[in-house]
Amino acid sequence: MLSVKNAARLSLIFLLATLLSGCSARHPIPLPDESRPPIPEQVHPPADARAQAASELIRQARQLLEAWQPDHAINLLERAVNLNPSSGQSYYYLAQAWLMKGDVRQAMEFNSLAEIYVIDDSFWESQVAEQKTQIDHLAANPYE
Amino acid sequence: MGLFLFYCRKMTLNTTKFKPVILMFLLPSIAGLIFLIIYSLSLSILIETRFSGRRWQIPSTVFSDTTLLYPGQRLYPEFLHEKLARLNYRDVISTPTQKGEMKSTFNGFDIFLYNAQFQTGMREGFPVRIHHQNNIIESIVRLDTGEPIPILELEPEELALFFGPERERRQLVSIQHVPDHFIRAVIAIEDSHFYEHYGISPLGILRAIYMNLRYGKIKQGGSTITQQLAKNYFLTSEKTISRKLKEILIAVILEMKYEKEDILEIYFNEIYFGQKGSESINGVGEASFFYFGKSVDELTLLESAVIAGLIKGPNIYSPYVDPEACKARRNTVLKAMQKEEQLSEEALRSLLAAPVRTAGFRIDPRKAPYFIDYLYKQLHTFYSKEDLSSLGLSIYTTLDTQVQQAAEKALEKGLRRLENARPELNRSQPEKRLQGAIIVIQPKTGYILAMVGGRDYNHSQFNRISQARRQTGSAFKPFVFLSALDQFTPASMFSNAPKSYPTDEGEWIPQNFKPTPDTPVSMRTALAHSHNRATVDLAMQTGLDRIIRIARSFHFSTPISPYPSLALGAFEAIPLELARAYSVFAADGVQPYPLSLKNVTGRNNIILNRRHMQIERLISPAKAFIISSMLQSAIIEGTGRSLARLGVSFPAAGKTGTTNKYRDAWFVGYTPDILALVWVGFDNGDSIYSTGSSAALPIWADLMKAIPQHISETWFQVPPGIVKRKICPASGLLPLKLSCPVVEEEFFLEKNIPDTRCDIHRLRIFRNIIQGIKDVVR
Repeated sequence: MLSVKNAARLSLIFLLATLLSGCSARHPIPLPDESRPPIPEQVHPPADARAQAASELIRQARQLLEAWQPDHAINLLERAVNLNPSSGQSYYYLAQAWLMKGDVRQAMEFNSLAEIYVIDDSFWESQVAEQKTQIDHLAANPYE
Repeated sequence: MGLFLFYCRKMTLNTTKFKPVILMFLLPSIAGLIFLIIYSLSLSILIETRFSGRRWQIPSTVFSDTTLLYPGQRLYPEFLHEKLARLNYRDVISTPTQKGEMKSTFNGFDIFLYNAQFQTGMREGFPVRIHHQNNIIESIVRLDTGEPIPILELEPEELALFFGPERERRQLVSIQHVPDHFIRAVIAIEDSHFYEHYGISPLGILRAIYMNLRYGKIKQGGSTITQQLAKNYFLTSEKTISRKLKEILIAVILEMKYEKEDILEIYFNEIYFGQKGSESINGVGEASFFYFGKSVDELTLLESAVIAGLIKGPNIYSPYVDPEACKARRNTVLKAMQKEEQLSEEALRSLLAAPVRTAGFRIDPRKAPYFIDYLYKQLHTFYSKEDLSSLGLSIYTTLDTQVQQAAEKALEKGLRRLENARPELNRSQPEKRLQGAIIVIQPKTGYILAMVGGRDYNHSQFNRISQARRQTGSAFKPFVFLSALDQFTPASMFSNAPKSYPTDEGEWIPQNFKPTPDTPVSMRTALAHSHNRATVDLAMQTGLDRIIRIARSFHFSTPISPYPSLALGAFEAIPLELARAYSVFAADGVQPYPLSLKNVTGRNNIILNRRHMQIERLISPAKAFIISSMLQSAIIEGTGRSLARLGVSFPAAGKTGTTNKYRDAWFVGYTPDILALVWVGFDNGDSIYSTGSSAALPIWADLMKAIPQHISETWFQVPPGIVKRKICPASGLLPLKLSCPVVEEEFFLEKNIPDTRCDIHRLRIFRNIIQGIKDVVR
């Protein structure tokens, strides 16, 4: 004779088995969206030749900025951006150059681009943040 | 006083009988003298005016951007060789020893660089070795010091000259930069008494008169250098007595007013030295580059003698016209120098046998003519036509001649391919042929690297990049989808079923280009596959006014009307503006101003005008990234998937466009480094029977494959504000762990992440239980 207790046990096992079978045997449902390849993983720009060449230009531009020649520096930094659009330093120094030229709006734009590309680099993150504070201050007090 | 009156009376008495004779000679002489004085004064004023102002009309020169070379750079050696040839480097078979020489080997180039003026200063030429392997530059090393060079800048390439009516090329030089041996050579052959006379040489004139009388015609001029200058600068070349007299008068005035050195300097800059196609070579500065590829201060004695010898007959003694006659004339100059004791007998003997070595020259076809027209219009805001043809400005641009050439070739090849495949596209009249246009931009900076405004500038100067207004078709869709990103996500589903929309002209039912199931599709799929019905559904849910507002913020200058068909690109755009608008997606949401001009310099390299990249933020980096990601899907799985078959394997984003009745075919594609727009169509709107993916996309692929140096093969960095989540692609919502059969990853704006679970598969779990029970019962 099957006791009530045993019947309950069996029912529970049956229910669990049913549930598990539902999970394992999936019937494909036609999808409205045709299947597509996965979105490629983010490819981080490697420290490749272009990046190295850009670094060289950035180095030269920094020297020009130190010599207070923002226009010449901008020319080099534009080339650096063309070579390595993911270099946050290029945008940082471009912002710096535009600050030297007194164009706070352009400096702000370049600073915001620098922000995107210095993530994962705490030193440059702090530099860009500091620059942002300076730009915000200048924007708020244009006649200082 | 009494004595004076006495003498006067005496003279009067003595000359009375000669009075008629005196009057006959004296009065005309006095009148002549007065006329001569007045005429000389007027000439003197003329000379002073001409010499105190701008002495020559010097055309302005347009240059390309400089070229950067660095280790690790990918490039085709044959293209680099072409580039160097266009920069007037000449092939030699041994190691280059002089500036402007290059030697190609199977894995490299040895180049003796020219001196070059860059924005940061003057660079002295030096020998350099570029070593390459498998189309990659392995190293760049200075040959003189062995020092490795991290980045080498090649000088800009001359693209065009803005001539006046004279079409004279001239580079001004100061007398201080002209070598002594050149001065001595010219004086020895042209006017050996230059430093002794006062502008004219009476002996020379007598000799000329004798010769002219003997032959009964004007045969010899007997001109000094000063007279030659007077003739060339102020007079015509006609051979008449009056012209000769004027010449003498001007020469004398010149000598009275100016130092010998000043006269020589003006003469050296003025004199005609030959012809380069339709352009005349004037002045020793231009001549030394044209004949020997070097600046005047670098001329050797032999080269100076060649140029000095040209003065007598530039087109007779030109080394490019008759090398033998040139050599003979050069030797005549050398002998004249020896006669004037400028050369020893021994030196002369050793020099006479030397060959004449020239730099060679090439007359290139017009380079980037549509770009030059576009630039010219921009320059007009600063300079008049007269200024551009006379001030001798150097105009530096953003154009990359390698990209320009690749674009021209790709366009011509693509259009020919279409014509060959479809004979109905051929037209007998050149101006009615199938047309195309390309613009290549660096999206982050806005630099215009190439602009091809049409197939053949000689037949049509209409610039289809900057002047045409064409319907955009599906190439406009990214702006529609962008407008929806605040409300929807790339995973949101839209109806792809036939649906009618009321318009002023009645009901409108958009059709998909290809038959597709009526089931809903995600935003990503709708854009990747360019589904029209889903796009219109999205647009109507988003609101046409919002789409128009967003589009206008991207600086489309053409009118945009709020019709539902706007979602499918039923509005006209200027291709340049469309390319600029796409740049926003490739530039993290900022829009650069398209730059063609970098700077303008005057004499002595003083910068007169300068343009830098100017950017304006239009959308967040996160939205730009989402659109780029969806347009990457178009390349991977959608309307642009044929790119892989065409050999484009690097990550790219892009969108095709085809307008009603196949009037226009578009492809706009980009990477983080470069953006190119290709348009194909007929000017009169005839059908081209081809889509954007079959007509424009292959041209884009050809272009990109030819310029590997501009493609980093990287993809965009995920900006702040983007998150990745797993979704059920059927619903576009978060998946149910045990129920959704397929799970995919999707990018979302941080503020717009789906927070509900899949509603399509929610009941799946209960269906499975019931199914399990049924199975057991059976």
